[in-house]
Amino acid sequence: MTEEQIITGSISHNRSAQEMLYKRFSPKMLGICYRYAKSRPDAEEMLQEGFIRVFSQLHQYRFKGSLEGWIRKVIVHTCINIIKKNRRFNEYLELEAAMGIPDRNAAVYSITETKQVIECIRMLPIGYRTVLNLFAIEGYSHREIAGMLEIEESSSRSRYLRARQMLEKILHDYGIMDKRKDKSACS
Amino acid sequence: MASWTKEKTNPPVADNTNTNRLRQTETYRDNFEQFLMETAENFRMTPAPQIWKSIYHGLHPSRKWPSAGAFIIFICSYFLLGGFHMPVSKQVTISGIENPVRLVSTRTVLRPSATSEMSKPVADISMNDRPLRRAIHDINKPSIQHLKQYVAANDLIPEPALTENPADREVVSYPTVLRLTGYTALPQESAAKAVQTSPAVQNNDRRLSYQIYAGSSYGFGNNMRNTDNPEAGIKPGTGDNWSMTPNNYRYLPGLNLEAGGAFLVNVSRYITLKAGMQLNYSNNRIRKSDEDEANVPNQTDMNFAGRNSLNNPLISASSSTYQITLPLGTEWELAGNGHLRWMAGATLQPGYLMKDFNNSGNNQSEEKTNEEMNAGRKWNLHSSIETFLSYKLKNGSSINAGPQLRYQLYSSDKSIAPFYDRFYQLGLKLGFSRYF
Repeated sequence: MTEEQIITGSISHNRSAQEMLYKRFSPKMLGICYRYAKSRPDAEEMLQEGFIRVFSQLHQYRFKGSLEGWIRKVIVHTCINIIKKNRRFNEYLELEAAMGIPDRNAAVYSITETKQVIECIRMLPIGYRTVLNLFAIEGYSHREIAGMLEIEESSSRSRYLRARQMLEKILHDYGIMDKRKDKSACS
Repeated sequence: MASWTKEKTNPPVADNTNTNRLRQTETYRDNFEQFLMETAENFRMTPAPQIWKSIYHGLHPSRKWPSAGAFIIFICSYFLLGGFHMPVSKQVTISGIENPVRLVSTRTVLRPSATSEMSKPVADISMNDRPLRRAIHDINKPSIQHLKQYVAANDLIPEPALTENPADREVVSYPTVLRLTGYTALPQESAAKAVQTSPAVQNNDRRLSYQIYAGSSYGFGNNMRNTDNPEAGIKPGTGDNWSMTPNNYRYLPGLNLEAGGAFLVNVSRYITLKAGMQLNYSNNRIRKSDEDEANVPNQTDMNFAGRNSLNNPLISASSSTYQITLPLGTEWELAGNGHLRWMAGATLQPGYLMKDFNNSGNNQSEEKTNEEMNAGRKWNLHSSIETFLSYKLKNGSSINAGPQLRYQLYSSDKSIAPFYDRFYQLGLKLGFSRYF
């Protein structure tokens, strides 16, 4: 099935087309949700709700830009909505920042480097983490982030800076940044 | 992917330390963001298989009601089919009968009076005597006589015995024979003697019976994300968020018990309407995972159930519910003879939740708080389908045994909950029924 056939079939509620579209993009989208979620079950919940919205709004896709990019945008917005709905956005910001970064994931050392970095990102308080994800990885501007999270643009900038500092420290503590510097030096 | 803008941010002026640091590492900051982006781009995770099922059910909610729809179709079809089994009354003109059928003990043959045109022996009845021949044939059909061979008085030519057991042959009067077969005689009959009729005949006249039963089953459950209500997720009254998610926990098979009684009304030869009351006990076993180690401080805790693939602790718990339901439905006969019948049934059961307990691993039960009870449904609706064998005893009572599938149609929690669940039970049921 071509991508166009998958899209057309999914809009027509064809189960096999929908399932094919889901299987093609769900691993990467779950990885995106995992960066925003508190835990894997929460990430899967975001993925589930996100894909329901994808299929419900698929008729709005105009074949401009990549399908993956369009789905990614829907998923990210779904993650943000769920975070805002849980009303813990600001609570996490103050509480966890005051207590310092919880060193809860002792398994970081034992997993692959890619997941190491992701787990380090997830160690950040959710308020900082969300801004970092949106700015550094998704590529939104601070103005757009401020609109999505209903905060001030200056607040978005300061949170990003703080998040970046914390993440650099975490990566350094786990030796991940040192390894990367060594690799860069060798290359 | 959305375009990645390399926006130069202005560091906070008040924090000179940050300003100096960022000026020194400006190039590294861009590389750092590039590194994050590339790392995230290569990161994949495989979702659990039930995620797709939940998504599909969320997109096609009409498919969540298969049992209710099947029940309605089943009921309608059997009411329609049941009409074909209704006996058709026919009028038979019997003329010339001067003497009534004389009763003898057993094993006599239906024969009209010797003075009538239809006084020939059974074997000599011509095809013109079709109604009478049909009546004789219908009398002896197993489906009507319940293995009872009905004969009437005649001392000339005995009817061949269809059963070996003399007790299976009963003597009935000619009017009773006609009534059993649905024929109506235009009487010029004189009074007949009292008739000894079989219990099967007596039972056909009885329409009301009662039934008591008990059953045990294994209960299963599954839970899915509530996508119908955008406001789902907030606990009523407190404004707090639900901490549990559908994928934090799994239902395991648990033991369920039921016991009850019902009144049954025969509306036709094969169909019975049923209404009763039933008490249900459900034990829902739960296995849940939690990232917070504080919840399981001691791995020797009784409710500690190991760890999952992500090394998160698993906790076992259960909840017990007591519910009273009102089964309303029907039973119908699929096949059978006089003693043994194969039956099927279906009911809708409105139910009320009386008590709900949370059981922790140390076998202590705690009744749920008012807040927790308010979030759950008190009233619910179940449907059940069953099939069973019914064995009729000599005293007219019946013993019934067979499997049953019972399904909960509404979630246990109200629509404000972030997820909904479904329970179904599969088990065996044993019952006893008797006519009034």
